[in-house]
Amino acid sequence: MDTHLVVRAQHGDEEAFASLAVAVGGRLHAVAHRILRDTDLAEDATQQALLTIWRDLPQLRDPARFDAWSYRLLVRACYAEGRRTRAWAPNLRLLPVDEPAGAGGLSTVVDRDQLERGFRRLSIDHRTVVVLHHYVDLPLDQVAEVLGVPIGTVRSRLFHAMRGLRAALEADARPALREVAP
Amino acid sequence: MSTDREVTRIVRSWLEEGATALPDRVLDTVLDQVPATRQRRARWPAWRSPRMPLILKVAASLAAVILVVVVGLRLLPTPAGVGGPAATPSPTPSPAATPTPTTIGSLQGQGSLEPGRYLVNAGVPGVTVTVPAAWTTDTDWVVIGPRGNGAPDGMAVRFYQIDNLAKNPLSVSDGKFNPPLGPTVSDLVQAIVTHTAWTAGAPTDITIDGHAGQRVEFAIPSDAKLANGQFCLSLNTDGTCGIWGWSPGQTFDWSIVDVGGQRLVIDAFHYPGTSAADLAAQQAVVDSVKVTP
Repeated sequence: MDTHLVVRAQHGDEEAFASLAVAVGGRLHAVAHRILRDTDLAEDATQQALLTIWRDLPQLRDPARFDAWSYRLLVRACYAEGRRTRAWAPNLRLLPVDEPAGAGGLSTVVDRDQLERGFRRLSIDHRTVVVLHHYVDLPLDQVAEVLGVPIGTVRSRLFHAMRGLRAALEADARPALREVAP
Repeated sequence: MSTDREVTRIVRSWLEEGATALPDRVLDTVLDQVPATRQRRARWPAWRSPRMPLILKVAASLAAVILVVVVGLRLLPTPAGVGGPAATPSPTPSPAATPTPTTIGSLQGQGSLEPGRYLVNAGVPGVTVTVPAAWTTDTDWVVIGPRGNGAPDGMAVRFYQIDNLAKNPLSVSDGKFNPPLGPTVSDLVQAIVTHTAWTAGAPTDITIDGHAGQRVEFAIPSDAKLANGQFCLSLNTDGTCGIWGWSPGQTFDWSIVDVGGQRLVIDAFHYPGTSAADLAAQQAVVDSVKVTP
């Protein structure tokens, strides 16, 4: 991240913040999308996180830590969206896939559907750890820092989350039913 | 049966799928709202790494253990002393006689707070404070009053250590107050009293949880022209502002105590519009501070 942009935005430069928002908006939205598994909720969470970033930027002491700080605000926004809508498991709607899985992607549609169900059964705490570690590629100590919890808690959440996903993958390979929101 | 590595690979691959681009309309909505969204500027550096140096972790852990032991011992039945009344035998042991250790939560930016005692990341280990109902926090070293921490009627209590004052609170680039601060409570108090950027009240001697110190009050001049809404009190090592105020008339009521050679600042700030009742509540928060290093 360009720390000069961060510093300028900290001092109220709206153009600098616009550049910053363009630079980080996609990344934040991608993370929110993966945690919440809902396009509308992810957009709302990202919008709220970006506004909070603008509002609270002067409180960020070290501009070089902008990325981790922005993830923390995004995660809070995701939690708030989750609480506000309570749209977890009952609102199953498989997300559109932008691109077909490549050679390194999922082997079958069944895997994808089973993962989707398994992931939706996880709590938001567990989802967040999985996404920050396996999608954003943050080491566990940085995940702990972003979430403000001990690293042991992160390890525990990751263990339980991966166990749940593994169980979902190992479920009977029946023909996958596509569940949609009513 | 999948191996852990295989499951991880599949999950990672699955996570790569899906949306990544933020729709323009969302970005436009954000940028449309920016001009009308006031930045919370000139407050304090809210987000610090929660990771503490190892020695502080050890010290904080020891302090917590000692606190639990002390609380537990106080809850235990007191044996009769020499020459004291004979203990009355009890036919059945009371369940209430078993001490239940109490865990003290930490401030960690959790927003609203349940009333109770919290551990504060003040730089000095073992600092705890009792937070009344309706108080909040947005970091790990500040508690904020029910009406927020901004003018005209807010208040908050901050906990920290500083090793300098800004030379010119209106211009951070002017650097630190000269001569450099000495390490004692009186060094800091003397610098506050002699600083020309504000008028300070007369210091008074205080004791907080057995730790001696001094209390001194000063305010941002009512006619101060704040650049970027910032009145810098103390600088970070990198020359940026570390502790600051943000409103003319904002008053800083500092209780500065010596904790085993470390200088702890308890910064209770408020505004001309802060009510007498709120000031009393703020003082009660300061008075509740315990330090068990």
